[in-house]
Amino acid sequence: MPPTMQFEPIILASHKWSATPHVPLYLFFGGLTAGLLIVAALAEIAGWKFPRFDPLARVAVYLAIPCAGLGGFFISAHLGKPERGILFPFFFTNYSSWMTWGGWILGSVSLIAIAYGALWYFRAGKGPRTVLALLGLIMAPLLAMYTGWLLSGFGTIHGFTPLWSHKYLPVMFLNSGVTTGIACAGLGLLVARYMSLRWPWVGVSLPSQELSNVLRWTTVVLAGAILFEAYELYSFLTHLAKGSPEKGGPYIYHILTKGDLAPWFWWGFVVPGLAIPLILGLVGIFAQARKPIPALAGAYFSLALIGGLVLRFLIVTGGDMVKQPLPFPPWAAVYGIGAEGGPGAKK
Amino acid sequence: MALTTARMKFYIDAKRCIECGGCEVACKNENNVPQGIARIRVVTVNEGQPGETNIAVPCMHCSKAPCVAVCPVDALYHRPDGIVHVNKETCIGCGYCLYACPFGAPQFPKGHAFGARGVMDKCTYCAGGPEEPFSEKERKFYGSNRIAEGKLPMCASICSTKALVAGDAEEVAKVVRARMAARGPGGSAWGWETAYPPGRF
Repeated sequence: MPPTMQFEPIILASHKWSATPHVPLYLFFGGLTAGLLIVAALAEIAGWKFPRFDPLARVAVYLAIPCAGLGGFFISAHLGKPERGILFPFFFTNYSSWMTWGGWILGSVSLIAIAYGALWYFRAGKGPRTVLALLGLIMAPLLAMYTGWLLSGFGTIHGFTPLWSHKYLPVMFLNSGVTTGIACAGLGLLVARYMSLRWPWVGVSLPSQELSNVLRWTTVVLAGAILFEAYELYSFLTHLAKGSPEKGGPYIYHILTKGDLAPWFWWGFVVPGLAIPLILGLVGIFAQARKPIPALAGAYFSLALIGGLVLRFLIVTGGDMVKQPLPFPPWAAVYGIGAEGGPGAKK
Repeated sequence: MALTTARMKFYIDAKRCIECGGCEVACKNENNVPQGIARIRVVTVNEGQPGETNIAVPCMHCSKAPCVAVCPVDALYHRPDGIVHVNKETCIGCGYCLYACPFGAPQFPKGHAFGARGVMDKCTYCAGGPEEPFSEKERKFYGSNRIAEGKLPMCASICSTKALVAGDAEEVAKVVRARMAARGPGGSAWGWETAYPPGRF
């Protein structure tokens, strides 16, 4: 640990975002909402040619609505003045802040999800549904990536938090949003079909062969997304490990992989969220060729969801643990202070 | 507010601080600082090791303050004299400024809505707040307004070793220059490059 890293005591732990679960949960549900809308839109488009994907779109958009609500609840609840966060169109006036953009993005995506869900509920035609699905397909990636920009937005100012990299975090959160979205939609489809057998009004009555086909496709796409996420994680960790010690990259790499967060990183995210789902996914692709195996698919989807949740907690907590310290001793001051009227000032 | 060309600055001399804590106590007393909040803190670097140093860390009232840039509700703003103020009636207590600030100046007292965090509190440079100067409301929310009285912040006024110097940039720079000239390399103007970098006005 570089000696300057010891200079981190001026922020009280109780003031940090990781002190309560609100912000990590918001990031998770925000990404999940985005992922579900992306899945719904893609399934809706696929449904034009293969109607068996329509139930997946319906389940995904129905799940996106409560997820958006939960995300909004958690981000509002963490505020000192929640009512001002809820009324963001009237209060958020600084458009150089990612939080202002985030308010509008989350608000728009929530409205799209509600309208799209309403079209499904009132059995509107496929045309209007597809229009909203396409709108969702444009806005949802913005929501997932914005959760990364929200944290790494600081990177555009000074880059004090090495784990909140503006280069890696937005893409990683988009990918994780898609991963959790597919997993949640797949799990929802399984549960909805099971419920339909008991309560026909649920209305997801896919024949076994068609369910098997949908699950197989879902499994293939999810496995691809997990593989890509693993690659991103590797690149990100390499970037941190090879970064400048003075900026804290190697320090947070150490904390994540060998230090205080290592058990959560390996046994909360990498093994259950990436490695095991990948194995289950590969097994599922072949095993579910003819008939669905709900237990296998359920475990696969659930673990991918848990991995996404733990990832958000790791990112927020890890970001809180290492903040780039100010240069000390301040040798730079000798060579020009640079303030107005100071020795280094520009006249 | 009267027109002014002053740019108020802090100079923290890492070579002079003796960790007496006088600035912390004076600030608390002067401004009726809420419980759990420290608008200025004396931080020890390399504790127990050769080169152990103490630094008093207030809000530096940066020239181009990152907290002002990230605040979604414009609760943080620069006064014409360069002091960064927070409007507690506008602040939503999101905590974004805490992460943007390199000095850890924003503070969040607990016990407000949903028990998560209150609105932000930080060093006001003893310049009160956006309320009417010397009003009851200003006193209650922000503390004293010594700048309006023509005085300097309490922490700098009370500092027995003059490790903490406050005032107009020109005046503060004179002190810095004099100490640099006397010491040679290692002048120890801590945090200046970050708070007042060149070309940021």
